[in-house]
Amino acid sequence: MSLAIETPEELDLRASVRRLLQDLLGKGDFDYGRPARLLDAWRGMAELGIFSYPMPGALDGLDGRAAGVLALLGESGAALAPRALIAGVSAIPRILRSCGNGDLARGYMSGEMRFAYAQVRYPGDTPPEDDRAGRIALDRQDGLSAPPPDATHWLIGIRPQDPSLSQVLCLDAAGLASRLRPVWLVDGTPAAGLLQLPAHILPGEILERGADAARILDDAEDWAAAAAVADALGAATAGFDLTREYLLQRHQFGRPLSSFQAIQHTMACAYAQLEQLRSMVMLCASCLDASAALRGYSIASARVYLASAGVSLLEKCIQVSGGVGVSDEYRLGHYYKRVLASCSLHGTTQAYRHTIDAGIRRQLKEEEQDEAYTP
Amino acid sequence: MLRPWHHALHQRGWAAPHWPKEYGGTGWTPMQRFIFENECARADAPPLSVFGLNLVGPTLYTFGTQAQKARYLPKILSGEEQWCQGYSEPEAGSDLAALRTVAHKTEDGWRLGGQKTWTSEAHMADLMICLARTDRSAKPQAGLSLFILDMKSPGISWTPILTIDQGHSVNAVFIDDVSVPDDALIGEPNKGWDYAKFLLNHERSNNAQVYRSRREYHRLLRLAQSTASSSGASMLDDPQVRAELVDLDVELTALEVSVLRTLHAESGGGATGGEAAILKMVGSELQQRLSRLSLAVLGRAAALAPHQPDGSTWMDELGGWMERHLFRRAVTIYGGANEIQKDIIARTILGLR
Repeated sequence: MSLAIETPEELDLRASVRRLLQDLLGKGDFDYGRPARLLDAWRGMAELGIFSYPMPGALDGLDGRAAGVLALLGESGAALAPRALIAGVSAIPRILRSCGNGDLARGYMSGEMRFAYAQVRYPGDTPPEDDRAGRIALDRQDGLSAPPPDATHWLIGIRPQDPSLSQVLCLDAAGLASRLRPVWLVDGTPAAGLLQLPAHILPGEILERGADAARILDDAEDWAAAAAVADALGAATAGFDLTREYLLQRHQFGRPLSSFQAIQHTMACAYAQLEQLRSMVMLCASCLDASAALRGYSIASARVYLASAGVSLLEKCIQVSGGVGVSDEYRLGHYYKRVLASCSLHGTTQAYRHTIDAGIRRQLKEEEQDEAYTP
Repeated sequence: MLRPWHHALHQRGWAAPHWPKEYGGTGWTPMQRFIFENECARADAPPLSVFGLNLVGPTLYTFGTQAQKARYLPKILSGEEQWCQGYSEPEAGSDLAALRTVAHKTEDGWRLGGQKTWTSEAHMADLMICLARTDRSAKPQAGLSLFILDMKSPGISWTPILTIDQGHSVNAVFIDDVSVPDDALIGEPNKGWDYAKFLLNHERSNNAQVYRSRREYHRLLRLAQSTASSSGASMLDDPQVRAELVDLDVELTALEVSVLRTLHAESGGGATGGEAAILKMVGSELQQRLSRLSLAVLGRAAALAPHQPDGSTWMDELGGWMERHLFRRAVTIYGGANEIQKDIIARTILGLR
């Protein structure tokens, strides 16, 4: 079990991504308000093959492995790269490969087509009255997306209660502009809330419908959820490393902070959490192609762990860093906010806790049927 | 119960899956070992004593002479001889290098004197692996050596130390002018600390006790399911219990994957660094959280002592939880207290000084 990218080509790709992100985004550059620069970064990543990597060979992709995708996202989190990469190399290629549209696939891989991704869930079979009136509730997370710079298209999953009514839509971004509400995520990432769907969807804008659409969207959301953990692991690792360096340099009471046992023990606990979080990302990598039930349970476990230990370890880092840890100009807080945002996108922690709870109960029932078990 | 089980495993060649095949190991892949250990835990198979199989065996096949390997390894594998570990002393717990047991060179061997304490299973052991000071002029860590002591040797005695669960598993061992031959020395004199450090990182996955904890978790689920809360509903439906069960399940999963990572690293011969300390720290804390939750589930019954004045035993299942909870206070202390594990992680892995 390894998260390492093993082939020389994959290692090259990862190293190139790291260099590109550092060159284009730089350290300490949190200015997401410079879209031209981000667009350059996006195109640069396309040239490196980042968007070809997760696509299948049949669509001229590189057939990359799940572990490789998650490792790339670790670089993205560490660089505080545009959050759009998370869905950009997970949910979006999963949808495009399933729908098999060659034009969209080629446009995506070249970086010329840049897709935002969102799912909209209805409690019934039709959009609620409020939604039709133009208010898809942001607090349900519906329609919330961190789009790539200068997005050209939106891939939207419509999820009514009845899965057979599901749809995968591909809409032109220009036509949606008046239906979007720009927002900032807690980590400073520009995002957009989809306030209203167009009244009329053209047949050519429906990539898939029915049970197949539901399956594709489940798969896409699982990949996006796992991708968010991988990105958060990258951010957490970078935050931890930054803190370690700081503790070695910063002196108080005439000696380095790193020499105080109280701080050493706090960092030891944070390191254990970091390594456990890494194990969880490996688990995700190993099960993304597994059955839906196993995949869902494993990803839910990773997401719950991220929300507890992933957050906690960076809080420890902030604590031992002292005042600088809460300074906005210092990078540590930005890693922390990156992780916080990841905990609440592509499914909430509470929803994932329910998945685990349901799994535990299912397991109990199965055990009761297994005579080999005695209480 | 343990000896027949050890014998049965030995007959199948499964007593020491982690040993190299040439010494009687299985040659299994990491996943095979993981599955085997999981299945043993699921079946409530008693864990074999770790001292011979996990501590002495690897020490001997790594540092021992051919004669020592031939003499001791087969009987460790078969379970014919049981071992204990003579490390801790009254003045040398976490500060192991402060130990005072001494070994003097004699014409035909060594003469040892001192006292060991918290010695698990000494009362059942045939042999002890004993850390003793052989050079008082050297730095504390540099003057130590490892010896093999026959527990029936004249001069060796022990007395039980009851633990807070009223159980007898640890002892004080007195070593009073005990003579051993030259071939009782393992490896070279004054290298004992290096060997002990080697062992700290050997069979690292065992430190987590994750297989047993997963089994315990299943047992806890059943307990919660069958125990009524004050409202009459199952404790499994209590919001706090449910929340903690979810957290424990997730953390056990993380630990299981970490153990698999470590098994892979061990099988590849590559040290990824610090696994022993992390697994020990996380695994032991999880064991304690599991038993702590069991007390919350038991409710009022948790106040009752397992053994009552009339000789009755208060419902075996409930009593077992309390006994395990009490004994588990030790898991964050033995094998290197968790504070020591944090020191190791911080200083050795993270380089914080």
